[in-house]
Amino acid sequence: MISYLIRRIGTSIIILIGISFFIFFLLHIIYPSPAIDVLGSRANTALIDAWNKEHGFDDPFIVQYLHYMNQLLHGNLGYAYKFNQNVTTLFQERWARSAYLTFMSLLLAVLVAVPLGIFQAIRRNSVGDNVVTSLAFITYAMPVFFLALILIQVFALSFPVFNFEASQDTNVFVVMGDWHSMTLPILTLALVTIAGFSRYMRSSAMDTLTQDYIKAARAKGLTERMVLTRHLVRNACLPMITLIGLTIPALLAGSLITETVFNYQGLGLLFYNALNNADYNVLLAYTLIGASLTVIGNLVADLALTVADPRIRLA
Amino acid sequence: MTHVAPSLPPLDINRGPTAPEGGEIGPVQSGFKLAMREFAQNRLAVIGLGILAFFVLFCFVGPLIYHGDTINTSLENTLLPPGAGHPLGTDNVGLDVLGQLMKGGQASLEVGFFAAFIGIFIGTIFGAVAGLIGGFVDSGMMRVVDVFLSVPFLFVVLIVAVRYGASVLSLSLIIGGYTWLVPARLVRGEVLTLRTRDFVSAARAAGSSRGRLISRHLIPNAMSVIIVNVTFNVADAILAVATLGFLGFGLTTRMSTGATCSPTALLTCRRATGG
Repeated sequence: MISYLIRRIGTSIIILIGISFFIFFLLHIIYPSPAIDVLGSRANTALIDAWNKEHGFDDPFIVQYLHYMNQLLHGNLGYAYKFNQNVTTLFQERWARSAYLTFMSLLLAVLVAVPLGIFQAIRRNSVGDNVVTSLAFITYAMPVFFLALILIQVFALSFPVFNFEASQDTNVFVVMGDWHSMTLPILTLALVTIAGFSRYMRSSAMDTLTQDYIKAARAKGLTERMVLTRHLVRNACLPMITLIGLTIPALLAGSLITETVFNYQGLGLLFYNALNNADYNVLLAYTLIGASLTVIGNLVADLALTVADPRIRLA
Repeated sequence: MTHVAPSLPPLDINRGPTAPEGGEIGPVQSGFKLAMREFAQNRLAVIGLGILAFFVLFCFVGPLIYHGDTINTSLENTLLPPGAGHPLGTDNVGLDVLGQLMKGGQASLEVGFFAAFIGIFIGTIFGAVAGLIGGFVDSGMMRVVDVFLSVPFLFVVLIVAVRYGASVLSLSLIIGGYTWLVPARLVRGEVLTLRTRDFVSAARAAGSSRGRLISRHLIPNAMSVIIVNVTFNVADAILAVATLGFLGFGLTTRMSTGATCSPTALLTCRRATGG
């Protein structure tokens, strides 16, 4: 178990280093030097070269990479020349709101998908199962932005139940309390995730139902309800842990689109604004954070799985 | 008594392969024909193929039949509801929506299929080589796949689209550059299982090189996994193109399906309808 842990953490560190190398490579190719942004678009080449030399942008690739890693390890994500602030400051203002949106959507998705998947597995091939499967496929195939637009049109414009825009408040605690504005964004992101989760949950629950211990529990005389709550739910949820780790990139991409549609001042909207300004430091810093979150999330999910499933721990 | 010459066998004898004792000669049992017959008997598969064929015809043959105006804007005809001359109405600059759907679908389908093809091609070879060689090389190759898989796909596509502009070729290349990751993993898994089978040992004993082993034996047997995966890849690529178009960074020289839903277009629509 300890050796598995060490191996897993070692692999993750190697992957993180590889990611930083890939991101820096992209940065170097796409945006070799911010000289033109600082000096203006009509600066002559001599001036640009002098600026580059002064700030270390014409050093060899490896030297620049090591400098970049040094910066990262000190928590400095770079400088956003178009916003004229540190990237770290920009992120600090917004990360709490993005985290709230993503976390709530994930929580809602898990809370809905687990019972839904189990219901589908128990009532297999019934009308309910087929209806939920069709809805899941429709929602899964829909792009996030389309679902968001439909929800806005139906629930915010045609029938004014919710607000068509997300909460614009800067205080994340006010945002948390503002259900009138935040329901639709959270619902959008959650629905897309539920579609995928419920399919996996359904097949996992179907597999678990065929296990011998379910048969034994029923033979013992346990009520069906006890069989489900005590045996089925716990065992069918195990793949869900791995799945949560695997959906982190999709959640990041989904939150980018959702925040853009609902004008929610989070990291996704910052990414969209930086795209329009072509501010590559911000873009690549966010990509690096996203990639690191994915690796760490998968590591945590794997470790959680070894804790939750003794069969893996003892193998 | 005249000597009767031995008679020739009657002309209707079955000249095909003779069946063994108690057996029957049935229809063709292997290869492409069998696959086609199985496919035709599965109703869902035929319906799916029909839908796909409909969309391809709609996008590529449609514009030849239905001449919706997607080039000349006409500001007196903006935001018309569906009616005569415009079966699906017009958008906020007067271009016909049905014509736009057809034209946009062309680019989306092209990018989708091209990107999926690139992805499958690279991914299959990468995965097969990794699975066959095994050991340290295999671990290294899979770590490379892990690194690329961890970076969120949409972000890198957006960044490259902003920097290099989005054309059908560049989008296909960058989407294909991400699509190869999952087939590589899957094919490697399949090859690891297939490696231990007898036919591989037989091929090795017959002296086949690694390349021949991969191309002639391993990849054809891993086809089922590859085919399932390529269908998802095409869908993902088309969705990626639509998302890019929605955010405003999509194909600049041609229409695509997402661009008609872009935020600016929608805002104008909303204002116009008073909603």
